[in-house]
Amino acid sequence: MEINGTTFEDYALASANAAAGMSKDDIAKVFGLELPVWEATEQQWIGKMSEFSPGGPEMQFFGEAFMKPKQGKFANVEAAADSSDKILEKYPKWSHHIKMQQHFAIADEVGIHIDFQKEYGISMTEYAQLGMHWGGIFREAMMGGDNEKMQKLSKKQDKLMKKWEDHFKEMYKDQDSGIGDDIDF
Amino acid sequence: MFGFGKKEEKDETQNPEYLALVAKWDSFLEKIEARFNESLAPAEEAVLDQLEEGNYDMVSNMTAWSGIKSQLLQLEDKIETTFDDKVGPQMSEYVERWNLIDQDQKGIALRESFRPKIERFEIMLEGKVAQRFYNHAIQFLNEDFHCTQCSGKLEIKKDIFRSHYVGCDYCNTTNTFTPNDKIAEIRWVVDDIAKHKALKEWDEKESARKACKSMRSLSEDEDKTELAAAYDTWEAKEKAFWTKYFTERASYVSDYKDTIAHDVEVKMNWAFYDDKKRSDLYN
Repeated sequence: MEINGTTFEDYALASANAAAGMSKDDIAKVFGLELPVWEATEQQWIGKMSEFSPGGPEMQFFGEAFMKPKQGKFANVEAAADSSDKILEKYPKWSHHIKMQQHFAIADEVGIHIDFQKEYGISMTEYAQLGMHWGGIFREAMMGGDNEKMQKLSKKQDKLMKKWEDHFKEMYKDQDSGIGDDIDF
Repeated sequence: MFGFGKKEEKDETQNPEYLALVAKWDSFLEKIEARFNESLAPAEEAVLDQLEEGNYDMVSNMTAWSGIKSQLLQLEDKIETTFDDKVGPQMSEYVERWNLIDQDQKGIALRESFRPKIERFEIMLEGKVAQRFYNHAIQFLNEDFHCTQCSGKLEIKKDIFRSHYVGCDYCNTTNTFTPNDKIAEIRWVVDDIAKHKALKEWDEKESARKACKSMRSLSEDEDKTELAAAYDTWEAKEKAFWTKYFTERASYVSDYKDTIAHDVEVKMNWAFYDDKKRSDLYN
């Protein structure tokens, strides 16, 4: 199926590159469309996406597009985002990703929004790439039925999550006043 | 005699000291419930104020709500840890563990009442925030826009919040209108306005769903008339909600007008028909 000459794969890659900071103008140019036509097209794909099942091939590709945004019609586009290898060079450890996750979650609990670009110098696409990379390693161990590896990974994950949870709870402790702190049994 | 312990020799549930603990636990739960309820109005005020103070930045506004929500949800933990660390151990000095089930249950019931209340409150709050954002952002469309060729005034559509072509009535030149970020964001906030406007239908479909899900499970040879009727009611209410929601949404964004029936069908599949297919009606 195509909408104004674009396929769902095109739309998925456009979304991944937009999340990495590519402008809508530049994306429209990749498809040889004027901006109003591209935005109308994008709107139709957004509507179409709700029809796809979460585990289906379309949504699977949507995830893969974020891992490798420089493919298909974006393969030779200079402004297109790099694949996950690039961000893994910058943040190679699982601890890096869990730190970011916990930072976002704990800050969110006290009403603070974390801008990944400002805090860690990465785009939302790159953050998603890290998540998919480590999620993939976990999934691989699970699918392979390697219980020992799974246990090791789970243990490591718990340890890292606790480490960074404690770190950020300490960091934001002054902002975290509970509304029921004065009520006691 | 017979080696029974002290707790079983007489009914300690009537012991005045135990009853005092029960009264103290009830009072604690009442205070927590009151604090939860009285926190909602200030929460709404704080989030709405933050919208203007934060120059209508929806991301930081929703993060502010997220912080307040997590404080409200901390009351759930407070109930649980208070029972586990204080109430339970103190009461156990008088009664056996099984006598504590009713007391624990009071806390569980209160905890479980918080999330549905927050969910409904959130629909109202996000709806109000979205409406305020809309009222602010739509003003940018009231500004004058002029033809690039003849400088004639252009009539910009007020229900398309993305780039679009605008023909000049004076010289017939086709111009491209590109909205600013705030106007473009309207496309996303109308979902919350629509949901708020469909709150009555949301309440009705939620109560129909709960009525249906609270029915006991049935075996193959049992009569399923009542269950089928409950599913029929839920189906009608679920459909009424999504129809109202998508119709309201389309009244703000014309892009959505032609797809209402299709959008309702898609939502009905995952919100209702998937569940019905797995129900005892077909076992």
